Amino acid sequence: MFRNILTIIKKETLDTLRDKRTIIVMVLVPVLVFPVLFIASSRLQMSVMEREQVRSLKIGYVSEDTDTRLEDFLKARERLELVYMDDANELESLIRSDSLQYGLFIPDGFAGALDNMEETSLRVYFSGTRITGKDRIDRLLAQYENTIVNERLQEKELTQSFIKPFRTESVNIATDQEMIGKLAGGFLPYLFIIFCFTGAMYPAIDLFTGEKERRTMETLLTAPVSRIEILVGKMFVIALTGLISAMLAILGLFVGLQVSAGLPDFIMSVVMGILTLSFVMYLLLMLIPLTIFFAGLLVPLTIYAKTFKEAQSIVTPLTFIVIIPAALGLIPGVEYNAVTALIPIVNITLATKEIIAGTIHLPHYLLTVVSLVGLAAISVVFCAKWFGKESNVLR
Amino acid sequence: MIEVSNLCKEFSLNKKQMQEIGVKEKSLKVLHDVSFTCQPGRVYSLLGPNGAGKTTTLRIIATILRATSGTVKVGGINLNEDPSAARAKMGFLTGTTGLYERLTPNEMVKYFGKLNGMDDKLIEDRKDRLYSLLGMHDFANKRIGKLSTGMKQKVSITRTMIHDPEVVVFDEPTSGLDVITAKNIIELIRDCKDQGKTVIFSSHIMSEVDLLCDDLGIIHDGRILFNDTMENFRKQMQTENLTEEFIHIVTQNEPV
Repeated sequence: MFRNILTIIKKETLDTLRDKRTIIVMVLVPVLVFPVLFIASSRLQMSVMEREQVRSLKIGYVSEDTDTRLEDFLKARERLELVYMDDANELESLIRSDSLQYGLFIPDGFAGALDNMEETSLRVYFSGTRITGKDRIDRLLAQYENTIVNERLQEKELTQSFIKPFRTESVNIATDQEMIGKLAGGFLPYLFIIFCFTGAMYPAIDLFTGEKERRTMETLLTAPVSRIEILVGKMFVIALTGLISAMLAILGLFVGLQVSAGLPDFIMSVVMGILTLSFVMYLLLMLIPLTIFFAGLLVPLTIYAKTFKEAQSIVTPLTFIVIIPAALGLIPGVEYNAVTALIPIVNITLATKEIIAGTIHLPHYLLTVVSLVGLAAISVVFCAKWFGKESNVLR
Repeated sequence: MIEVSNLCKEFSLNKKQMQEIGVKEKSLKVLHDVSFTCQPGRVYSLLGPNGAGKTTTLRIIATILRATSGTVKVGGINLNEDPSAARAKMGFLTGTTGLYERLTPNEMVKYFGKLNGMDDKLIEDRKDRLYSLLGMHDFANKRIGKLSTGMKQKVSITRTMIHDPEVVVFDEPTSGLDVITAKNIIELIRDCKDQGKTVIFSSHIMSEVDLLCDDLGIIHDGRILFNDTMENFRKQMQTENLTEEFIHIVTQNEPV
């Protein structure tokens, strides 16, 4: 029996590896998607940020006040140009057309109110669509505000503690690993689940519907091997391609994180610290039955479909059925407990978060593994019955 | 030897299929008590118009389909009891046999040799003999997808014969093939007969049957209308030629 299964596995692996479509979906996309995405987005973000930071600011300045202290303060700043205008209504259109970055409207009596320590206000015009928002003008105005406050404190012979009586010292009891695990740890299995499913999809269609369409299924069924041997051999290859695809996606993610600039060092050290043997073992114990379960979902549909196109249209919507529970586990507040440990796919996202955080509760984890193994076994039995029905295979 | 006794096949139909065929019953009986025997060293031809039940019969013999009732024995093995053992004694070839286009002939033939329980040396020996016979050495390592129809048919023949089966089933083997490729198949059937193998082939072309067969079964609407030697068929002819006689038998037995 195992000899035949091994023969089928070898042949199907060779056949699958020669299928360009499978190679693209199974290898190239998972390996390249994250490095390309990370590098491109970080480069783009950095270049935009840098450009914005060094860009000379053009501020439209409309003042009804004759006092020039704020104006003088702004003029003394580097890379800043004041554009004097008479009407505040003009500011909006000039900012919208990117001729100005900000607009300032100083009402009559602004400086006088400050001198009398009365409450007053000025108006800042900006566009919320710009990457820097109103950060730079806020910083400038805060500096001016500080200058005024310091002058007032000196005048009254008071220290900073007069206006800031105490400081708050925050002590975060969660470790970096716990923070990353709980907040972002679910992202890892989410990715795994998606790539595992999409990676298994094309081989499943090719190995069952493809065989029907190419009329090789009949030939195979006349060979002296049992249907269960054919099924197990093919399902093994489908599960394996899903697993490899997902592993390559995770590898791509780590490579992408390393090559992309901009992540804080502590995050990088935690992320790299995750890749321990025990973590991989914990993960694989859940993911192997999961991939078999995915193969079990795909195989009956691909056996049923007559053509590659029909199989694609049946199988593609299934991706959403898989993604939704995976995403549910990402929602803050959904905790890993005895109930969620039994919900397929959701349990993997939640368990992985706990594993990364180092707070995994072993009985819950075992519940998850046992339930996934059970689910995989049920799916294989169902596939065997489905594949045994000639009306499905020779439809 | 192939022994077919009281073979019946019924397909269950879904609503769509019932509408398409235009029947009210939820099942369709396509074979009615079909019985015949194919002897070693002889060629048995199953002749019938399209939709007569030829392919269904051969698919049951090849264990691709299961009979609803009746028995089929291949080389003395009852298909219901040990289909795998029966398959090991059998080679199955059709005119539209699919091949793994991404594999080479070598890989394809080796795969089926392995599935038939052969060791590497035996596969190599058999493969070499068949390649020499069919002139396949030149394209043995090219991807099947890049081969011509004739070359592909040669690969199919090698795949069918690699385990030296004692029974060979041909389902409309020349259908859709050019004259030269069809000639290869005819030669193969003759070779099989000369080697003492049991050969059954289905066809709807009388001239092909006349050329090859020793025993004849005429099937129509899932029923065997004639089952005897080719010699006796000729003796009892009521018309001028074989094709006319075949049409005569079939039209006389048109279902009401």
